[in-house]
Order: sequence, then structure tokens, then C-alpha cells
Amino acid sequence: MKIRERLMSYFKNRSFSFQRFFFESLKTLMAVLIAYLIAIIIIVFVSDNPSESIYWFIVGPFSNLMEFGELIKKAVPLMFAGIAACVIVKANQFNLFTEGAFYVGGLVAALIAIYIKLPAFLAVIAALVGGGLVATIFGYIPAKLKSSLNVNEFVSSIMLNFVALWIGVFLISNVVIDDASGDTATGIIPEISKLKVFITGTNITYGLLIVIGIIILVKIFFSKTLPGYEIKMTGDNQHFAKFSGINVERRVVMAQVLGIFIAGVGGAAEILSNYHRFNWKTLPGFGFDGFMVTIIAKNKPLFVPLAALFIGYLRAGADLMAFNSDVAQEVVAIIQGVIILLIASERFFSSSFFKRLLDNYKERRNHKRMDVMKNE
Amino acid sequence: MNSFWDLFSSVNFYVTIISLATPLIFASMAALISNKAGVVNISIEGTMLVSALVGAIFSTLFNSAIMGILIACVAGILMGYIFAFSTIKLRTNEILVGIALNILAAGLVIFIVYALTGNKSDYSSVPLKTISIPLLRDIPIIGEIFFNSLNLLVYLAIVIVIAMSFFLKKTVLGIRIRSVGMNAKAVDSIGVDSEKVKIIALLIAGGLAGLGGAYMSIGFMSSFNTGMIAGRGFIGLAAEAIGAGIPYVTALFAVVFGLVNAFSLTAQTITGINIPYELLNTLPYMVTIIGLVVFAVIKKRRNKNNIKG
Repeated sequence: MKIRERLMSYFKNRSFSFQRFFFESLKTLMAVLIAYLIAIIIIVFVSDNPSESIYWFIVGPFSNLMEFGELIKKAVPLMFAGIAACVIVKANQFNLFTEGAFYVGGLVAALIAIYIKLPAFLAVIAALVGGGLVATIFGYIPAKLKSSLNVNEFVSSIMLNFVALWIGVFLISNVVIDDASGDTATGIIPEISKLKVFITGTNITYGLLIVIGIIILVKIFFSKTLPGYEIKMTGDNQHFAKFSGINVERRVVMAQVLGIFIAGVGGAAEILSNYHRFNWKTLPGFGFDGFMVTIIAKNKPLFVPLAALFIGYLRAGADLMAFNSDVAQEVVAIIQGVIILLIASERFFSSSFFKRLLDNYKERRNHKRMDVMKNE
Repeated sequence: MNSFWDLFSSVNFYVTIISLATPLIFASMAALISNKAGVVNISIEGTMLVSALVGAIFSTLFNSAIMGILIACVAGILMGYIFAFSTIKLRTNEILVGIALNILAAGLVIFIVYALTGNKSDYSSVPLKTISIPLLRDIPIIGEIFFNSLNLLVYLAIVIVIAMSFFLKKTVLGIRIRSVGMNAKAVDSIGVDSEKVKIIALLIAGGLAGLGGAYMSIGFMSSFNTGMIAGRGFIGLAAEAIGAGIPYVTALFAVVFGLVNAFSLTAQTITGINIPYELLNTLPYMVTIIGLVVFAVIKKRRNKNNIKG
């Protein structure tokens, strides 16, 4: 128990400060505003009818329940990817196999749903967990290579993404292909294995509840359990963690494996919610998005859903804009890039910057008072 | 083609290797100089993508491949500057900046291509002409491979490898870059602005990545495609990691990856064996991982021996 107490005291020292939280929020808001400003300027330049484009982009997702549901639907995989990346980044690792995990998880879930007949509830669980586990087997490779051989997990995981992608494409175009689909895709996923819609009138499925459950579990894991503390500490300062008697290698692997498993489940949930067949022929891109989400959420599990909703809102708006006007939805990429750059930067509106501003103001106020007093 | 022997004895195969190795050489040199300055630069992938598009656009605008390449290089330097500004002036985590720039680049190119042409993937360019050198091209085999069907950028890549080695070893700036990578504070203490040196290194890296991108859309193909970089920037990083920071060794591994890539492309045409092309496509990436592992094992052994000695 000694180590546990030591860890507790370590994290208590960095207790919550309302002032810092306020400044961080202000910074995020500034980043978002600047990014939006840039995007609007670009839209005005390329669009023939900028006011309509901007209207769809900003107000569109809230125009009716269906569109709002679309926003949530887009945010769910981002929540999965975001919380997966959050766990990995907590240990200060950058295992980008979350990207491939989405692909592998989705494919395996589809295959389990199609080829293994199980009763209703079990069918869904088996597909989700199976997808997660197979993704984890892949994701373990870069994690283990990092911890035991110090191979840069970033490069190796990106390479592994492409390997997983091409193996998957091989499977769906040669082995498990269903010729009736008229496409390179698997057979139809049976209704029994699918995640059902739980708010009628929208496309929101039980995937949303699953990911919220996972986020709460992750939060508990990091704030109440010993392994969670150890992972956080390893991420904060690996040398200190090592000297405190933590098995750093094991924690580094554990964080990555957990993250990859969540991402795999996310891929499975995505396929079981929104697809009739598995037909991905490129990487879905959620892995990188997840890292983006967790940067915006400042790597706090409870803020991940908010950040994911925000990105989902951006994308839903951009889709509506692309559908109703002449601007491509990829304008979001510009907003996203600018936001991450500004939020992640230490010196852009840092809390110390605000503090200096506040101190300056106080000092000037005091001077004024002094002056007034002198004159009197 | 009937057998592996036919494949390995055909001149075209070797030309393909060199063509596919060239962008990897540019990428790995960009990774090398960033790494020498102590920065892990993963934005090379995005930089290559953006400059591939910029090169294609300006080559058609001026109707000249050379102008396209020059402006692509400038675009690369600009991306390098954004990276340098964020990491050094704004103190952002390098990897996060890299991820941001890669996301930005992937979306930006589609956005621009769509705004210009109305489709979302392709933009044709004015391709670079191949150079055929008289006399030298008449040498059997070697002449055919090296002096008949390659373009200017391939030769430039070779020159850059040699120049990089010279630059890092013999010039003041090169030595400063290396020392900043080793210990930035020590460099500051003798009155050299380490931030400035880092920025210069990153700008050079951006320019090199820009040339690599331009090669893909102007030299290797005659059009830009949004998926054409396909992880080449990252493979460049891997080649640099395996090459242990030595320009020639790094370039050698870039060529090895080019060979694997060329093999995966051409092995489909061999009639005797029947490997599906999807599985052949995994080869370059698998070999990269294996290369990283082998290098790590060798490094670990060496470290152990050093401790013993």
C-alpha cells in the first residue's frame, strides 16, 4: 500500500484550480473562434453564395431532430477514438494503431456477426468483444516493441495500419466476399447482431450508451485504481515512476493495449450501427481523429464526449454545407488543424499569459489609487 | 513475365526501384536533418502531400515542370515554417503539431482540388521530361538504368545525399545543427541562437519534403492524386531511424524500401506464382517494421557490449 499512498499524494499536489480551468476554457474558445474566422474567410472566397453556405455550416445541424441525430451519430465513433487515444496519451505514448484497430474491429465484428450464430444479446457482445480482441492482438505488436526494444511506436504503428488495411482488403475482396453485393464487401450483417436505434426519429444507436459507459469506466480507472495511477505517473515522468518502483514497461504496454481494445470495440460498434455490409477499402481516419479529440479535451476523459460532439457538429455542418452549396466539406480539416495547433501550443494564450494580464491590471489599478491618494 | 529471374534481369525493374526510392530519399533526408536538430518531424507526410498538389497546380499554370518543382519546394518550406513556428515559438508538442499538420494537409488538398476542378481526387500536371545522356547511355546495362530514363529530380536526390553528408560534417551551420540536437543549452551558452538554428534545419527539411512531394506528382506520375503519398513520409522516418543518422546509410535503406515497393508492384506480373496484389501491398510496410526491429536489436546488443567493455 505504500506505493499507493505515495501516488495519491503526488496527484493531490496537482489539485483542481478554478482559475486555471477558466483560463484553459478561454484559450479553447479563442482557438475555436480564430479557426472559425479563418474558415469563414475561406468560404467567402470560394463560395458563390457564401451566406447560404455559412448558414448551413453553422446552423444546419440544429435545424431539426434528424440533423441533430446525424451530429450525434458522427460524434459516437469520435468518442470511441477519443477515449482510446486518451488512455494511450495518458502514458505519453503515441500508438496510432487506433486507426487500424477501427478497421480490424469493424471487419472482425462483421465476420463474427455473419458466420457465428448466437442468440440475440450474445451475438452483439461477441461481435463487439471479438472485434476489440483481434485489434488488440495487432496493437500489442508496436506496444511490446516499444517497451522491450525501444522501437518508436509511432512509426511502427502507422506501418502496421497499412498492413492491417491491406490484409482486410484482401479478405473482403477474395475470401469473405459476397458476390451478390455487387461490390467488394462481406455478406449482409444479420439484424440480430446490429446495435438498434434507441431514439426513434434519429440514427442514434446503443453505441452511444456503450461509449458513455466506457468513458465512465476509464475515468474511474484513472482516478480510483492503482494501475490507473501508475499509468498516469508513467506518462508524467517516466524516470520518477521507475524510481518509485513502478513497472514502467508493463504500464506502457497496458495503456496501449487498453486504448487499442477500446478503438477496436469502437470500430465494431460503428459497423454494427451504421452499415449493412463491411465494405471499407481505405482506413476510416478515426484513429487520427481520436488523437485530435483528446488534444481538444486536454486529455481529460470526461471532456472527451464534449470535444467529440464539437467535431461531430463541425462535420455534420460541413456535410450539410457540401450537400446544399458549392463548398467541399473538407474545409473542416482546416478548422481542425488550426484548433489543434492553437490548443496544443503552450504559449498561445497560456494561463501565465492571462495571469500576467491580470497582475498588470491590478498593478495599474493600485497605481491609480496611489495617484488619487497623492492628489488628495 | 515468367519467373523471378526475368524480373530481376529486366532493366525496367531497376528503373522502377530508383523511381520509387527517390521520394523516400527526399523524405528520409528531411527526417534526418530534423532529427539532427533534435526534432521528431512527422509532418513530412503532410508536407509532401501539400507540395505534390502545389507542384501539380503551378506546373500547369506556368506550363513548366521546373516552375512547379520550385514552387512546390517553396510550399514545403512554408509548411516547415508552420511546423517550426508552432514547435519552437509556441512550444507545442512536436508530435501533436505533426498530427495537426497531417490532418490539415489531408483535408486541404481535397478542398483545393475540389474548388479548382470539381472532382475530389485528381489534378493533372505537366510532367518532368526524362533525361537521356549521350555517350553514357550507351554503356551496357548501367547506361540503360542510370542514364536513359530517369529525370532531373532523381539526380538531384543523389546530389542531396552527398551534399547532406558534406553539409553536416564540414559546414559551420551543419555542425551547429548537430550540436543543437545534442545539447541546445550548450549551444546557447556559447552565444549561438539555438532556436534559430533549429528553425533553419526545419525549413531545410520542409524544402526537401517539398521536393519529394513534387517528385511524386511531377516526376513519377503526370498527375496529382490525394492518396499518392501513402505513408512515404513515414517510411522516410523509418529509413532515417534505421540509418542511425548517417546520410549514406539512410539513403541505402530508402533504396531498400524502394526495392521492396517495386517488387510488390511488379511481382503481380509474374505468371508462375499467384500472390494477390493486396498481400503484396503489405510488403513495404512489413519490411519497414522488420527493419526497425532488426535495427533495435542490433542497437540493444551494442549497448550491452559497451556496458560490459
